[in-house]
Amino acid sequence: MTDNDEKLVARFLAQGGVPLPHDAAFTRRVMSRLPQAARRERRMIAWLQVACMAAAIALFVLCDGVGEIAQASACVTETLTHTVQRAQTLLTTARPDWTTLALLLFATLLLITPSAKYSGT
Amino acid sequence: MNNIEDMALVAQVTLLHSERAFARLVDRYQGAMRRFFLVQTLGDTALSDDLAQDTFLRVWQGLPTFHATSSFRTWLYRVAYHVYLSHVRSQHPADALDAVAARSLPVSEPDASLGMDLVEAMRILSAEERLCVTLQLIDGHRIARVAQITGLCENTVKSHLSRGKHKMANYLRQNGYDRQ
Repeated sequence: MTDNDEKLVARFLAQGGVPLPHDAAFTRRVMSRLPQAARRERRMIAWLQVACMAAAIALFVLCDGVGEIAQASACVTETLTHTVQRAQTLLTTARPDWTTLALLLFATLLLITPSAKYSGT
Repeated sequence: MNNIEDMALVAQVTLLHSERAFARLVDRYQGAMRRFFLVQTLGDTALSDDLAQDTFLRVWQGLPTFHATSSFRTWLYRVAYHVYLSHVRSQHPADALDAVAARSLPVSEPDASLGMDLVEAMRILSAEERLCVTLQLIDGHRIARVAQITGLCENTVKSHLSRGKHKMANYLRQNGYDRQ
């Protein structure tokens, strides 16, 4: 096949203008032929989903879900604040213990060495 | 952009079971589907409409299994291709697509919706050549996508395209199209 063939065929198809027929009645026919059982089933599932969602929201409100969430978030905030404050205190008052640091480094090396050996396999 | 809109409509159909969204998908692709079948059936409007309807009904039933590994458009054409194959096989069971399609050409005159010359030019192609030429030159799919739709390997698609275009070009030259 040559470039000329390609151009000739493309030009012919462009000139011939293969129509793109649009027919609104076609869409209606397709929609009316959708299987009734499947349509009912899908509608039922959709309603069931809506009902479950509504029940979940109702339960959430009835069981004071908003209050529970507020309480939980306050607790988390308090714990975080406490931890940060404690870390600050430790950093400012404690002196570095070289023996502990050396042991930590040794332990880290021990942990890393076998994992590096096995990660290659 | 079209793909994003398609995916939004597909999501509405699969998650919210929206018939309105499905109607929009049908509206959007009915022209392309009917044209695809119109070329495959060499201008048989009634048959191509029936096949296009079957395609959309299969899409409605199969949408929950569509996992968006390809675009909706590609998937739709794949369904259409299988509908066409099923139709051909139901007419002539246990035959290859080419052998069947060669015999199942309409005896009656094609409808005016396809140009007479186009029908004649398509008639000289084998079914697989016609399919590949339609998908690439009329529907605008890339070769990789044609392969994905038809399940053929890319090299086979390329050789169908090459032979199909060569045959069409020869036909057009014989009928004076190269002098226009």
